[in-house]
Amino acid sequence: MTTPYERRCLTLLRAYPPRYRAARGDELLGTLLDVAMPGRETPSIRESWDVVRGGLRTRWRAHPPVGRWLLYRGFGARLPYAYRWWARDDILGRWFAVRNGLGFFLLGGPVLVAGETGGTVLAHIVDGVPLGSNLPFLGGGLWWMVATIVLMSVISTMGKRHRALKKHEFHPDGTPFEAAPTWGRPWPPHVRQGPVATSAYPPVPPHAPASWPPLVPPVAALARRPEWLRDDSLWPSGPWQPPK
Amino acid sequence: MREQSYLILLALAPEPLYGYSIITTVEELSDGRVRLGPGTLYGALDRLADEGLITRDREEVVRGRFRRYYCLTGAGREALAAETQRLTALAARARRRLAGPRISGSPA
Repeated sequence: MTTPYERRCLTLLRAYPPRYRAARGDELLGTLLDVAMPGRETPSIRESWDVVRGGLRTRWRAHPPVGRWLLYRGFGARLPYAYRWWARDDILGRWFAVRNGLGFFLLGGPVLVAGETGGTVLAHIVDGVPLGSNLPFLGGGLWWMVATIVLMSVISTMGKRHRALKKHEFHPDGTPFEAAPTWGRPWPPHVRQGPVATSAYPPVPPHAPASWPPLVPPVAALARRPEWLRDDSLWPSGPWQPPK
Repeated sequence: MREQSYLILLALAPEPLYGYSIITTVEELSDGRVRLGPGTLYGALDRLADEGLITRDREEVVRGRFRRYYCLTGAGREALAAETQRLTALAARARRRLAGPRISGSPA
């Protein structure tokens, strides 16, 4: 049975990324309960702010660079391997469809409009077609253009969760390919059989470093696909601490 | 090295400690001046782990609360010794300067 204090702590811990909570949540909660002043029903404002700030900083550290993020959000581009766990959290998040549709609307939409405008201007220069003759937003068809973009946003979101997960080398349940290469493209490429993970997080590899699970969960800074990919025997099954 | 990181490494020098015990030890080492919150502590622990200065020692559950103990790595101990030496040298220089004759400023 959880106490009100514990429930409040769990709420505060939502400031941390989901994968961080999965790896360190129990430990953080234990420490928060340890530092609790007797008789208090909620953490103090100072403690609350400290936890929220720590969570936001952790999220910020794990966030992909703005340029890559814009390409990912607007056009569904694949994020660099180092940020695949961030992508996993985002894709499995509750409002992914809304974020994705809105991203396409705000980022992909203007590109479509710019393309349409550019085509019209080009037609004007090359063939002398009068400007504005087929520009939908100049000819009173702005709402048609918006409706088209909204429709495309919705279409772009349909079934995207699985595609996006696969693109970032995760199974539909969020298990990484390297932990359970039984669906989609196996990883490493030539390995056909492998352990089937029972949880969303990979099992401890046989040659895990001493600090497994790593102190820093897959905040992704350390998770880079090695360039010497051909030698698959060197690639551990866990995504958090690949060899340097 | 930041004071916070130095104090955490110093706290871990004699024995592995878990979250709350690191907080209390750091507070004690700093005469109550530095009181780490859990968010700050784990941010610092992540940084120190990234730098290879600390590692996980063991885990246990006490009264239903999960505890993960941390200990210094070889690199962490070396970094702590180097920083202590630097601070000692700085303190020695400070003492010499404070003990020396005071030269009054030139008249305006």
